[in-house]
Amino acid sequence: MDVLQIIAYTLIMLGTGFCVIAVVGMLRFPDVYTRYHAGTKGVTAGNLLILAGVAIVEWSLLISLKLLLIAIFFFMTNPVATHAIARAAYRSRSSFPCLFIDAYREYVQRRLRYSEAEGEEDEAAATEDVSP
Amino acid sequence: MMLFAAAVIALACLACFYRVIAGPTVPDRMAAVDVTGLLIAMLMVLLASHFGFSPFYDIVLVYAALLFVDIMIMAKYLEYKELYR
Repeated sequence: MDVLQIIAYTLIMLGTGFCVIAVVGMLRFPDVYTRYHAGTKGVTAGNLLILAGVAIVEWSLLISLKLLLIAIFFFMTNPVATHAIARAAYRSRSSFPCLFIDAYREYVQRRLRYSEAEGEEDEAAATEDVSP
Repeated sequence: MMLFAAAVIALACLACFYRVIAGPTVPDRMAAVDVTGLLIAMLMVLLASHFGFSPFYDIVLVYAALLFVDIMIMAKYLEYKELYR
């Protein structure tokens, strides 16, 4: 077993550990946003490490480039998807009892007052009224 | 070694599926579906490397794209309660 394979299997084991830690956080954290925090960061790091390890193990041009493409895709889309879920979770009012400091609500209400002072009927701003 | 990592990932995937069933709210379940799908993609990569079956890498690419579209559509439906907007 040469040095390259040792590096590759170390990367794969490290990525598996990241995935397991992310799943433990997903099971044990108390509310929605901390679960997003655990899930998106841990699983993204674990996926990148596992893909790098498998690319070193395979070590052919076609398969390694394909794995690099998968890694770039995960690295771009996973934070976007989690951000979209968190935005939907805030605006659908399904997670208010777990918030103690709510800075985004001040932003939304300031935008709402601004649009009322302008006197324009903005349908998008009207749906952003999140006062419970 | 590769098969051991695949077994650990599969157990983590089953443990994350518990959150899909028993999540208190709907966004919990959506995040758990996202994490479960990513772990299944990693399981497919590890098994493809272990068994030497290289078309699985293409399947993983298409699976990741479909998972992203799936999560975005679910988030849009949860936010606006309708899809055409």
